Amino acid sequence: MSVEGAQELAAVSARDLVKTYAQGEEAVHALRGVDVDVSVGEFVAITGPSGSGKSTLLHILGGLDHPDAGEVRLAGEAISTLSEEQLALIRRRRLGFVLQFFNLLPTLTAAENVAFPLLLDGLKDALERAHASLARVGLERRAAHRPTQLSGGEQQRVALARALVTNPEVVLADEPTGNLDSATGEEILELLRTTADAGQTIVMVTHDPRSAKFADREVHLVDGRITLAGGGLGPASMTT
Amino acid sequence: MTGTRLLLRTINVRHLLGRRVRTALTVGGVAAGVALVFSISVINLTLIDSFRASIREVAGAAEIEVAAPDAGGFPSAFVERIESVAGIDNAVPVVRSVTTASTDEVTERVEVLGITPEFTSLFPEGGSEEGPAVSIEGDFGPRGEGIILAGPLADALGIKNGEALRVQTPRGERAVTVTGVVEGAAVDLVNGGSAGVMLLPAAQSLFDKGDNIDSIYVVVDPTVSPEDAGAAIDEVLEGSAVIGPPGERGRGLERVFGGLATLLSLSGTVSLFVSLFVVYNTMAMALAERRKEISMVLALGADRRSVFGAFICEAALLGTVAAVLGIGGGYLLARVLIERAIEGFQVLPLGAAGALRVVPSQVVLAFGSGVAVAVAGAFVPARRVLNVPAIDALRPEASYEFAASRAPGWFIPAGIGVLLVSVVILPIALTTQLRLLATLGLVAGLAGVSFLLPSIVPLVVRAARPVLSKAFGPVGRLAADSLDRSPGRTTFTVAALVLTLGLVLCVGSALRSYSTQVEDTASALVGAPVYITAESFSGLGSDQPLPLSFAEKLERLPGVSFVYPIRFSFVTIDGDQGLIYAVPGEEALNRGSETSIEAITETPEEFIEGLGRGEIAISNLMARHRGLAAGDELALPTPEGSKSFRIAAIFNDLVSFDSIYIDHGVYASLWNDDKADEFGLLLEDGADPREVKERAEELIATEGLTAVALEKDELIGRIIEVVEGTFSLGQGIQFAALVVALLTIANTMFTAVLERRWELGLERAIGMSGRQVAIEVLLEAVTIGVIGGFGGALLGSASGWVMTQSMEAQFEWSIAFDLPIVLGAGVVLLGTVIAALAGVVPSRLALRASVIDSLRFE
Repeated sequence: MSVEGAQELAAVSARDLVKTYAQGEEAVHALRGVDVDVSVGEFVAITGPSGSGKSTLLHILGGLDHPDAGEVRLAGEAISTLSEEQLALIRRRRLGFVLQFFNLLPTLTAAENVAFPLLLDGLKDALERAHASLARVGLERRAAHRPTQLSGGEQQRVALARALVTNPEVVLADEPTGNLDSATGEEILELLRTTADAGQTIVMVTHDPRSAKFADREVHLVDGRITLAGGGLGPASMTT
Repeated sequence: MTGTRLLLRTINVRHLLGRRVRTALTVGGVAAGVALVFSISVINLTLIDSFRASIREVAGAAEIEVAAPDAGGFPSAFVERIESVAGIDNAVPVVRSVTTASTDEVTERVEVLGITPEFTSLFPEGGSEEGPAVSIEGDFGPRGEGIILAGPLADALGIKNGEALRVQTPRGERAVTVTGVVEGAAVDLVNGGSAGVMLLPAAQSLFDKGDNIDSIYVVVDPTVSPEDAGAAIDEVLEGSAVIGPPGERGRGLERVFGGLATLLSLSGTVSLFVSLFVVYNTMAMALAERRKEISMVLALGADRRSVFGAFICEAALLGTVAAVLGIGGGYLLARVLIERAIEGFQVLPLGAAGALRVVPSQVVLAFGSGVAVAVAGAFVPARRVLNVPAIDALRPEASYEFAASRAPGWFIPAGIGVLLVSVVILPIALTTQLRLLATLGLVAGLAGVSFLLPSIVPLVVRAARPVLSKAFGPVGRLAADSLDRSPGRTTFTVAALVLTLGLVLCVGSALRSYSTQVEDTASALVGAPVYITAESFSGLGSDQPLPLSFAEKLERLPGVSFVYPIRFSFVTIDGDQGLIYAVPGEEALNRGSETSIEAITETPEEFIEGLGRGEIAISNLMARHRGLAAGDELALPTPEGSKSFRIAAIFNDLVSFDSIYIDHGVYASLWNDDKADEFGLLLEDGADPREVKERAEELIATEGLTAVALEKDELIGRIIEVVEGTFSLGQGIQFAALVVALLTIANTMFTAVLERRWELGLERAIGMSGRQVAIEVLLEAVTIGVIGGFGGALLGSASGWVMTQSMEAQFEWSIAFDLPIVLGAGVVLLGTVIAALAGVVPSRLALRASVIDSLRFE
């Protein structure tokens, strides 16, 4: 399959991504020409040591950051050149995010947190859909609780419910178990796995090899370059 | 202490320097408060000192000044009568006139002294302790009609010897040749250096004084005490003059000025109090931001008292910088406002103030206030340091733990109690003019409101939440949530706005009520369709009144049926300032004036008939002040000696000193005054006021007089302008107070944005656009503005009512409080606009913030 063809088929894909940060007087090369394609329904783990560029890659895939060079496509549509307003709409409707710490807005209940992207679009059935999404992660009874009343694991499940509520094309998770004990972390990973098995595309950043095993495929980054493409359960292809 | 110093140097000061915008806003807020207080204090002192110096310095070595009790002066023959008193070495007559002097480019308000050659004997050669040196270059010209100008005035006018100056006189503008310049410390102090000297006869002629003079400076033989000499002079003059040390004649005016100055000082105090909230917000933010750092230094072994001490020192440092800047800024502000103050405080007959007066105690007080406000504002946030757990060092910075401290239960009774104390203290302070007590009363009032607001504001914010949610969806909800979760910050910001806007509305509504009353009273009393007033008429008299004889010419104008003069004359009665209104009441009414005496007295018939019989009417304030009632007798000083008048009626007035109505004919003959400040023109049936006004204008131009013709409504409008002009300086101060409020809200919104950086980043990560986040921040600011605006409208209306009642009680005025609905709506709008302005930059900050940076914890 041609490169262009793989991009068009992928849920999310990146070509020749370059990102350099200035840290003091030094330039930090976070990404040095990364190509990646994630197929629809695939669960990909991006791994690597600290400073390898994995979070930067996730941020660029999610339209939170712009690459210095290269291109990102979401379901074949180039998003790297979109405006901030257009990217906000994409994050709201077509992507879901699960972060490591404090994923939830503290003043909203669990249901309101989940409903938030729908509420931004003014959907009248937002709360109804939020309850359904909470039910998917087994938290329908905690819908009226605020983040401070939830455990760390519950908070991450609420975050996952929010990420799923819009039926996004891709869920992006940045160290979703990094702040949890191992048992709770495993519960979250199983939930992600189940979600992926149901056809949801997931890209997860993790530094933990045990977490990566839940994914269909592992992409290993070192110093801003992909050094290993493992797994291979899904139809993705990678180049370095 | 070592720990505190170390922490201050290594952490606190570096943070201050690192957060430049916030530090600048905080310092700016406190500095603005200090600047206001300092500038008001400098302006007050400068005006009062200039006034005293104007009176005293000109007296040189004289121990006694014998002054005319009113503007008409007394006969120069008094000089000989005084010289006949045993123990008097010298008696030097002076004519004094405040006027405007112009060149083609410049116009200055000037005090012109008419002196005799003996005047220089008051200033011994080379100067001495009794009187500074005066050096004169030039003379009074070959015919003795020239004017010698004070050096600063000659410089200001840019005029040289031999050139002509246009001077306003009762007979119109006259050209006077400058024939010399006088220099010296004493000269610089007379009317702020804006003074000129002429020979006595020339001045008497120029200012149409006839044979009258205004003061006599008396040098007493060293063997006689000035008190004994004064008593002997009083006996000779039979109570027809004000006798005392030079400056005594100004005491009454000083007391009147004191009341106005007290009110002005209180406006400054509010600003300084409001700036306390700026510091509170900054230090609360600093604590939130450095929580991890604090817990780390605690984990490393620092004791909490050192950390607390470092915070307090940081605040003191901010306060010190702010106080220094505020004092500098206040001095500059005073320089800008002093001219406006002179125009506003027309009760002090000053043309210019000269150099600003600053005494060390003012600087110390302003400096101390700045530092104290900063430390007080920081105290509550700094105390929270004592509760930061060391374990926080090991947690990420962002957390769900809000600093949602609710107001303690004792705040409400404390607030009510302190408010009550204020309500008791303030009227006493205003009546006694004890400025420190008034400041304490005001601070108690502000503190009382500040105690109550933490219980009220969160309730209002919670009530606003559904409204915001409904109107703005999730963005509105998040904005309301943000306000609700930081009740301290929200309350303090709202409080700053409530107090500032409350001050604006309080003064505004009281002034409006007063102005409305003045307008109503003026509308009732102004009974002629056309008036001619001296151009220099300020509402309470004129620098250069018009000659009484002008009435005859006015009466010959086609369409005019009758002309009556009105004279306002300040008179000193037993050392207190009084104002005589001389009006031909009965005659004017008989000839068709529509004056409604009923508007000011319950006994209009007694009033009019009494004045017709040569009796007087006195104001309610004067009746209370002197324990007088209708039927009593009151002695007034006249050039012919003290004369007793029967009080025919009591009337309501709207001035803050004693006032008296008397028939103009009686006044003119007893006081030998041939001037008028205004002429009322009654018209023949069918005559058009506009046409008569135009004819009068032509006559004024033909006669070369400096007068204006006004129709009835124009005169009323001019009176209102004068009233509002008196308060214009206060309005300037209020504007500056609003700037402090703006800084407070801007500071709060910066705090809110920085404190929730992570949260705003998350909102954007999950789909909110930058614009929506910016709107959220702006909505927070606007909500604060709306709540502050409504709070300010409520507080301002209530305090305006209290102030009106207090003015009524203090001055025996009768004012109907005018509920300021339009002004109140304006205040709500003003609060909203200020808040929106203050929220613009922080919202742009939120808009521009990088989502990635916001989500990063390291």
